[in-house]
Amino acid sequence: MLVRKPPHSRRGLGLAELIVVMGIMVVMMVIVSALYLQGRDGVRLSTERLDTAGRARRTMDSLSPFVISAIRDVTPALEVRDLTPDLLTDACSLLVTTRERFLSPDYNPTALYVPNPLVPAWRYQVRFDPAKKQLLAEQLRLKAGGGDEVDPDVPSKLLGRDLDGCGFRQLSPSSVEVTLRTRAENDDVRRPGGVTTSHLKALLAAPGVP
Amino acid sequence: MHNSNTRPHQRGQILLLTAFFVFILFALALSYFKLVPAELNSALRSRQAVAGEVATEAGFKDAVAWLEAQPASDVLPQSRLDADYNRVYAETPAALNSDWSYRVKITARPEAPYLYDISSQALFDGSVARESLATVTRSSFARYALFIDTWREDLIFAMTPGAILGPFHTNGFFRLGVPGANFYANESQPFVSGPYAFMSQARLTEQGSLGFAGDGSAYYGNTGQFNNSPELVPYDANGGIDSRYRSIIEGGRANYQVSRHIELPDSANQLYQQAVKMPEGAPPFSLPSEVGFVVPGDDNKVSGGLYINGDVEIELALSPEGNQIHHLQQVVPEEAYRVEREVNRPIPLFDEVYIPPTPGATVTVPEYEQRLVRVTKQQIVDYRDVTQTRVVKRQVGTRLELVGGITTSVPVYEDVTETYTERVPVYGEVTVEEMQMVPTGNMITIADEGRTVLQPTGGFRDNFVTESEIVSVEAYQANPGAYPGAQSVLLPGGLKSGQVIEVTSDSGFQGLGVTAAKGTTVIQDYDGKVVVKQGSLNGVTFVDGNVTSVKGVSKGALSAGEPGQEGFVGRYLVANPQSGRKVTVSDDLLQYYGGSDARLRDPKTAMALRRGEISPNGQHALGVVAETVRLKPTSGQNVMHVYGSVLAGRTLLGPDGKPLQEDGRPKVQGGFGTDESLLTGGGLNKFRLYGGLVEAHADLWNSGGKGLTGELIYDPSVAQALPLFPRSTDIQTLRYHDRYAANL
Repeated sequence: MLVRKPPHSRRGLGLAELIVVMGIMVVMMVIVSALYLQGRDGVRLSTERLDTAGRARRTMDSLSPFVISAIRDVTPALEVRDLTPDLLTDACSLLVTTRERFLSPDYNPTALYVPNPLVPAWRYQVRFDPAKKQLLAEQLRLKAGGGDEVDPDVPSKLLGRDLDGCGFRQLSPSSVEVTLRTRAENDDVRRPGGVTTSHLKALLAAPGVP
Repeated sequence: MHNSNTRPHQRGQILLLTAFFVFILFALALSYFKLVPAELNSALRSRQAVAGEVATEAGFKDAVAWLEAQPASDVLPQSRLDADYNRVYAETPAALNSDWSYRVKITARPEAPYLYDISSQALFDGSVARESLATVTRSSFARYALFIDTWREDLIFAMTPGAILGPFHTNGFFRLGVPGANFYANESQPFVSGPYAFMSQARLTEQGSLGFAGDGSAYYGNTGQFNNSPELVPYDANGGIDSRYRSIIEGGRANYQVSRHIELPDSANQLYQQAVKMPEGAPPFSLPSEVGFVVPGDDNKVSGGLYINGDVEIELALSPEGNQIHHLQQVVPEEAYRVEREVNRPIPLFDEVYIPPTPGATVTVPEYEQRLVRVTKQQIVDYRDVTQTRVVKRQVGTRLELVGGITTSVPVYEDVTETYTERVPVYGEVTVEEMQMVPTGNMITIADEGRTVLQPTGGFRDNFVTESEIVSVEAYQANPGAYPGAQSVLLPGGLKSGQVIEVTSDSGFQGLGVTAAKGTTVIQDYDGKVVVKQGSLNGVTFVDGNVTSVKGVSKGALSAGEPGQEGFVGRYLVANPQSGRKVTVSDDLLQYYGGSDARLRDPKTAMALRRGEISPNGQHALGVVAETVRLKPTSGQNVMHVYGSVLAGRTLLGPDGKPLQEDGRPKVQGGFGTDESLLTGGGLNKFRLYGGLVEAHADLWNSGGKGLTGELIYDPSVAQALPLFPRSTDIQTLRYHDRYAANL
């Protein structure tokens, strides 16, 4: 017996089905978007952390030659002027005595050192400026009547920028603990404190100081 | 199997969604894939840098430790450095762990003794990762304001404010007198102050009387008791009190430390080598056997300093042009010959001859008689008891002070009032009679009684004796046969004078019948002969004898440089400490000043630095080295000014060349003080020493109100300007610098 097979339905999606599908799609898009934004945020955070941590490291790298070359001469090798080493956001400075002419345009650290008793060692100040958020190296000179002052004839050198804080703590005549806190260039309200920061704490020592 | 529930037109949607998610996750993974290695690299870089620094520092400290273990008086040539140290590391680097090792090389600077470059390389898996370059030198004893090797038990240093203006070290431990109860409360200048302020001691005292640990020093109050009160010491049971340490030393506790023993030199070999330096290629200097002075060099040019054999008096004067003149005076023995001959010196013969009385002859003599004489005498007639009180000083100990009432062996007393009964005699006049022989006042005539006398007989007896005859060299050489058995002898001789003039003034020198240009040396020997030689002395005067007197104005030696660009370097006066020699400073020893500042020019002495000023630079510094240095002002001046860094003392060596030991440390001898003749006679004068003082023992400055009181005024310029001054085993870093291997 010949039986006719019923024809295949050609009816499209109904409104209810579309709404369900769109709802599912919206939920999925929300999830995906959240994932994407979180990922993007994570990447940006990592980038900022890399940037701030790198900047802190570069600042420390710029600072360490001052400390590592410190020697004791007519002045102590290292002298910390930081009354509040735990409070990073206030002004502080580190005074260093060294034979290196770090701020001279023709400075060559590998040139043979010829001791000249008539020329004293150089004295520098590594100073944190909280207003400009910069760490600067400045050459000092003796002041008439005692003490020292920044030599205005020698341009200062920028060791670090966008620094959120700095602290020095003297541990011994030949060692100093340096804490640097760098901040990202842009604020981000979603970060704790409103901005990405990096802490870098290092113990720098001058091997040449007994 | 076909899924009959999936409509054909819906197929692929899940695939698209999956692809979409895969893309998102891939993008995220890619980002992290880039970020994580960057972080890891950064962390690795930091770790490598720190590890590299530690490794290079280990190598540097290794080299410093080796240098410190070498005898201080040795100047290490490159050949010895290579053989004894560098070769080991060149062959096998020192391993720190399986990855890191270091390699060190010490290079001696040929132009400057005691100056070394240290190159330390950190190796990671055998490859150079980091390198440090350092320049070090042996610490000069000139850097100390005061150095006392052996601190006597009865020496207490009163801590007066500003007494010491530079580094202060002892190989014993400090015995410090606290001047008063409010010493720590005052905000006056610390006891040790100045930019170089530093105190170090090599030993520690036993625990004091407070019952808790101290800082190793002994503190005394006015009663001479050690640590008898918590108010005396700068610490309590909880540790140091930094405000109190800041009263003792500028910078506080950080500058008050225990260091290792710093050994005094046993000789001044380096200065000797400089004094007798000969030109390159010339035979080595031969020590003269005769008393006199020698300027080493060849016939035309000087090459070293001034060598003097025998005791000498030195006056450092300045010519009108400003040239340094060494006036030398020595007692120079004279050569002669002694001939011994046997000669007969006859002795006359005598006889006793009795001369009988001349009959009838008389002589006149005074008349005496014995009779009773009445005399009045003071004599004890009774005794009585008297009750009295008196204040007596009871000695509780002794102490020495160097600054602020500087004296020595000062007894410490307590005042005690006591009542006592004294039995006193009562005298009265008593008249007694006694028998006495008294002249009557008459002359009487008595008969001649005769007498016995000695009279020559006119005969002689032989008397053979051996007599010495001194014959001059000329007479002997003219006829040697006339003096059989003659022996060469040295006669005491007379005082001889000579001069050595360092022509360092632009206007040259005129005098002694010669004209000399700058950069030459004029020598007048003890026979009066004058020669002019090319070249300048290097400033080292080495005396193998005692300097019985030195005074005057010291000018620096001309340093090497282009004509017109020369500078001046420090001068050294050495009385061979290895032979136990002494320097006696007999009058002001001032420093040359050639600048234009009228305030620094001495109004009394032309071209000298004003008394009381410290050096504007170290160009004309003077170093004095001997076993013993004594001050003996011969003029009646009130204050004697001495400009110089003084090293008085030496370490005694045993037959094996190693230091003799005493009380567990090297035995030393010598010191700085007042000449012994002034401690027993004369009054109390004063001296000021501008420079630094290093001494084996703190010898007496005064005693019982006789001698000298003194002040030590530290001169930082001098401390840095005496490159040949004796060095300690301590190594001082002049420069330290490190870099990444990528910068090599």
